[in-house]
Order: sequence, then C-alpha cells, then structure tokens
Amino acid sequence: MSVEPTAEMAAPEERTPRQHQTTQLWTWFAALAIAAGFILICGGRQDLGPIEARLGLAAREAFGPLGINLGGWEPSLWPGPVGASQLWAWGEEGRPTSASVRWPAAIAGLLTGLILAKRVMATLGLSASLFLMIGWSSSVALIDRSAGTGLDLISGLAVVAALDRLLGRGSDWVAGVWAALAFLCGGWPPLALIVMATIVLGRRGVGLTVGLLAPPILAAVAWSAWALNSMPAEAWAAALTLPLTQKSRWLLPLGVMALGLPWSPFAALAASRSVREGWPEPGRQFVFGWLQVAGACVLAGTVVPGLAVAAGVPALAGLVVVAAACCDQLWNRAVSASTRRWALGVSTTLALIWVIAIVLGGIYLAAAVAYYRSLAILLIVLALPILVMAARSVALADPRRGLVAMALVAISLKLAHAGYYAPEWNYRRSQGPWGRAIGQWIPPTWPLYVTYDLSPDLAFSTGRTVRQLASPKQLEFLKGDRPNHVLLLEAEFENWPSDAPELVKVARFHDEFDRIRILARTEGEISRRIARQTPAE
Amino acid sequence: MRRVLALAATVTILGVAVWLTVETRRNRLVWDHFDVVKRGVLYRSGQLNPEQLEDAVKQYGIKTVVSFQLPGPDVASERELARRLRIDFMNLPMPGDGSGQEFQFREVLKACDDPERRPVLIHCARGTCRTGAATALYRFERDGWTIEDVTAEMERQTYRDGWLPGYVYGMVRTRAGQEIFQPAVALDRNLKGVAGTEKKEATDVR
Repeated sequence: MSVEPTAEMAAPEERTPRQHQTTQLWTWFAALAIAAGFILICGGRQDLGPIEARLGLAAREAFGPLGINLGGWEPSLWPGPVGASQLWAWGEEGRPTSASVRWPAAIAGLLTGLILAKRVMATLGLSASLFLMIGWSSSVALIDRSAGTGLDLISGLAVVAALDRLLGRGSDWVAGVWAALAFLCGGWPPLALIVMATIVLGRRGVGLTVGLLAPPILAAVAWSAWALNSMPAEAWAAALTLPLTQKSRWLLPLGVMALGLPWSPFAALAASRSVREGWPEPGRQFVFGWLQVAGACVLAGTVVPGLAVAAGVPALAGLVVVAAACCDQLWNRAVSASTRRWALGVSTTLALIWVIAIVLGGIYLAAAVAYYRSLAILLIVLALPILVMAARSVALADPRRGLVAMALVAISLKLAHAGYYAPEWNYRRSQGPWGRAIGQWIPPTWPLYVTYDLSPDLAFSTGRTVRQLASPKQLEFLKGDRPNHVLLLEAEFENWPSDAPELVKVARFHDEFDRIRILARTEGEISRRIARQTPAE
Repeated sequence: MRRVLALAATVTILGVAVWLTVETRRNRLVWDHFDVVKRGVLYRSGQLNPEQLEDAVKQYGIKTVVSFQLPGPDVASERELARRLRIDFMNLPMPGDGSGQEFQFREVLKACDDPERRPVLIHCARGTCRTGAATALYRFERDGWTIEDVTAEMERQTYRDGWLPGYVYGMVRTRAGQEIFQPAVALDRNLKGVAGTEKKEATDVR
C-alpha cells in the first residue's frame, strides 16, 4: 500500500490565494470533524464523579459568587463553571443533569483545541494544525474529560487562551480579559500561572502590562465586593485560601504525560535538531514558547500547593503543541535517520502495547461478558490494521505509517472509552442508581434534608436539592406545613431525638456496601396537589 | 515466503478463534455470566462446572448456592458438591423465561438477609432470565432501585425480551409515589341500590 500522493498537486507557494483559502477551509472542517468525533460524541453520557457532582449540585441552586453545596457556600466552586452548567441546564428545561456538567467541559475542551489549532495553523502550517487537533482531541484527557483526571477544562480554556494570546500577540487587553475570565473560573491559581508565564517567557512585549493586569484585578475587586455583599467574609476567605490547603502533587508530570497519550511521547522528538530546524521561525518561537510555559506549569503545579489543578490544562496544551509540531515534521519526512528510528520505536511500542492489551482483554471480554462482545470483536479487528501499519512502518522505515497506526490506536481508545469504560463507570462506580432510588420517593421540586455530609455524587443523583441540617431540631423551624424528607443512617433513625419533629418511615435502602439508609419524612398530609407545590425554604 | 507466512498467520488466527469459540461454548474458558451484584452479599452466574463452582466458593467465600435449574443430574451433582464443600444448596426450579413465583424469589432475599447464609451465589443455565429476575427483586426490594435502572442492569446482563423487569416489579410490596394518590379507589355508588340510597366508598392504600 502506498501513501505517496498519486495526483500532481501544486506546491503551496504556487497556489492562488483562493486555492489556499479553500484548503484552509477544508482544514478547519477536518479539524472540527476530528474534535467533534473525539470530544463531543457521547459527550454527556458518563455519570458524574464526586468532584463534578459538586458542580452539578451548585447548578441546581441560585447563581452567586460561589457555588452552593448542601446549602452552604462551596469554596472550590467559582462562578464561571457554575454559570456555564446553569446555562446548559436552562436548555434542559432547568433541570441540571450530568450532561449539564459534562457538556460545558466538552465544549471548553473543543474551544481550547480550536484556539491552539488557529495559532498552529498560522505559525506551522495546515498539516501541523490537523496534528494538533488529532493530538489534543484524541488524548486520554479529552476523551475522558472527567474531573477525576485532575484537570479543569473550563478554567483551562481561559488560561490557554490567555497564554496563547501572550505568545501570539503579547500582553494586551485581550489577554487580560482572558486572565479575568480565568480568575472567575478558577480563582487566583490560574492568574499565578499567567503571571509566571510572562516571567518565564521574558520576551519583549510579553510583560506585566496594564492591559494584562487591569482586567483580572478589576474582576477580583468586583468579585470580592459581590462576595462580601452576598455571603459571609469567612466564605470569601475560604475561597481564596483553599488552594493553599492542598498538597504538592509530585506525580503531576507523569500524570500529564499519561493524559496526553497516545501522542505525548512524540514531544520528546523536539530534542532532535533535525526536527527543530524543520520548523519555520514563527513556528519555532511558538513551540519553544509553549515548551517553556508547559515546563513552568508542570514545575509549579508539582511543587507549589494549590497550582496543580490550574496547571494541568496548560501543561497538557504545551505538550500537545510540541508533539503536533514534531509529528508534522515526521509526516513531512524532514527528520534525520536517528530521529526517524526513534519515532518508529515509539509508535511501534505504543501500537504493540495496545494490540497485546486489546487482543487479550478483548478475548476475555468477548467470552465472559456477552454485552461487550460486539465491541470486543470490533476492537480486535481494528487491532489488525494497527499491527500491519506498525510492522510496515518498521519494514519500510516509514514514519507516516507509524503515525497512521497511532491514529488508529486513538480511534480504538475512543471506542473502548465510549463502549466499555463509560457504561462500566455508570454501572459499577457511579452513585446514579443508588441516588435515583432515593429521589423517586420525593416530589420533584422538594428538597431532601440530611444530617451529615452526604457524598456529592449520591446527593446529585437523587435529582433533588439537598440541604444539610445543623441539628435534627432544625426541622421544626422550616417554613411551610408540608412534610419534609430526611435521609438518615439506620442508627440515626433509631436514635432520633425525642425533641425533634416526629418522623414517618418512607423507605429503606441498602447501599453498595450493604449499609442501610432510611428515608423518612415529618408528619403531615401528602397528596398529589401538595406534592406539586414547591415548598418555601 | 511472504505468502507462506501470511497463510500460517491466517491459519493460526482461525485456529485460535475456533478453539476460543468451542471452549467458550463448552463453558470451560470463563465463568459463564459471572458477576458481582453486591460484594459479600450476592453473586450471579450461569451454570458453572464443578471445578468453577468450587473455585467460586473458595474465592468469594460463598455460603449458599441457589440453582433455578429444573431437577436432574446437574442439580443432583451440584447438591452433592455443596454437601462436600459444606455450604447450603437451594433448588428453586422455575421456567427458563424467568417467570418464577414470588415466594421462590423471596427465598433468595431471605438467604441474602441472613448473615449466616450469605454470600449467596444464584445461577440458572445462562445467568440471564431466572437469575436476572431474582437479582431484579433484590434490587427493587433491598436497594430500592428504579425500574429503569433495574431494566438497564438486566439488559447489561444480555436480557432482551423486555417484560421480566415489569413482571418482577409487580411483586414489589412498597413502591414510590403510591402514597400521594390517595384515596386509591374513589367510587361513587350512584346507581339505585336495593335500599335505594346513594353511597360513597373510598379505599386508602398506605
């Protein structure tokens, strides 16, 4: 099989502006299709984990300077992501679901990819921008997108946009506005990274200008005024000091490498002079800039407590930019023989690891779990061209075939995630069925009260607003004459204080560890008419 | 040489595929439809062979094996194996489509509720319908799962006919939302009765 072009094509410099425009348009179309295929397909199907569930719970509450969780201010939830989820939920008839959290993150991931691709297209060319989009969209981080990976894609979008502006146009007002948005999405850690980037880059025009500093300072002052007016000063202080309570994340560099797979190892090719010399001057500056920024982010995120979450996305973005630039050079075969051998070694090793894992795992899956049989067979069948491509790339010393094998690995990874990982997560790890079990007993607009810190994913899965009571007696002082539902542990129900309102047992649930929870309610009439009313808080 | 290699690879792949299919069909390669419903409480599977069952008992500490198979040589040998392993064995024979009787499924719940008798391994021939129905009642009655989630779990265990979750849901004693529809029956007796008087009857279900 030949991958050489079969038709005579005009060299880029011989094309008319119109032809160039058409090619650019098709490149954008292809980039969007790639991103949509990897990021948006099955964008909202995965149930929420505990970190994202906090955001989901906050989306059910009123918009404020911080998100609200179990009735209290949650210092880790900044207004940006909460607002995005509420906006999405508004399109879902005002009932936030897991999609209300997952889709904004997916779209933020897509936009980040487009911002990076635009700059890569301008500095390194069309094919490099396609590699950027493939590398970004099909990385493990963007296929999964869950907060469990340690990334915050929404604040990450603002940070990457600000850094991209710094690298492309310098410290101007636009970069400042992105920095302000980054503050509203993730607090001061993203700002610290942006400031650090200006120092690390040390270029003319990339400094701490008024344009860069004024918008985030204004945003911080405005947010503080809003916060101090609408919530206690302790909550404001808690939001600002929370990052300082976090520990150093020593495995961040390894984590970023793993999240960038299967393309991240190709970034190492930047060590080769033949690769670096192939980049045009603006492209080289751009790639080196991202390399510096990503390195600084990884270092700061690893060592400085509280910066790890904010550092993840820009570090990954830098890694993918460098990897894409290297892959582009490989595709153009503009690399030395030793670099080519190294690249072939990387692609063949990754392909072999995938093929061995998927063939063995696929055989077990096809034999043991009939539900996944067709997926397992599809993945095993896909492993064959991967193996053939990898083998041919080595036999012919052709890195293009190696890159095609990597693209097939990425497609297989997406299929395995959507077809196996997400359903297994929803079935085995998610609190969805356990929460819905509780929620079905409570009228849709009524709150559920708890006396302890209920896990956020279980609370979110109930589909109801959840409030934590300071004491059982507090039930006495809730407004309205309708019954209130309380979720208790079995021992709490049995030892319910006599001076608290009397409870009627509604339902009993065993959880996944066979512990027992009791749903009870205060006495009073409950009918369809009353159930349709929203109780006053 | 290349053709020979290609032919050898094809023959090998085909051979492995046939061997895997035969072994899977004979239930020797993996534990048929084995899954954990709730760790330490309830496990499910298709019909395991004696070695597999013994392994399952040792690995998961199973104390009760429940078979939904019709009595016959398989059930007899399993009963004998359970006696040898000193674990409880219960046979609840029912039709293969899972349409067992409520009291049969409730025997499984009793075993799961008794700390002396659990973990329980339930199985039928393929681990889909009868085992799925028993698991469904456990999910409804003990875990309180919604019918949508129970149906999704049954589908994940390759149940495809569709009616069984509803059949089992009919056995559930308390269901969400019942209490808000009160009175459950409101009958106005406006027809002239023997006494010639009108009556109103209402039935509450709480």
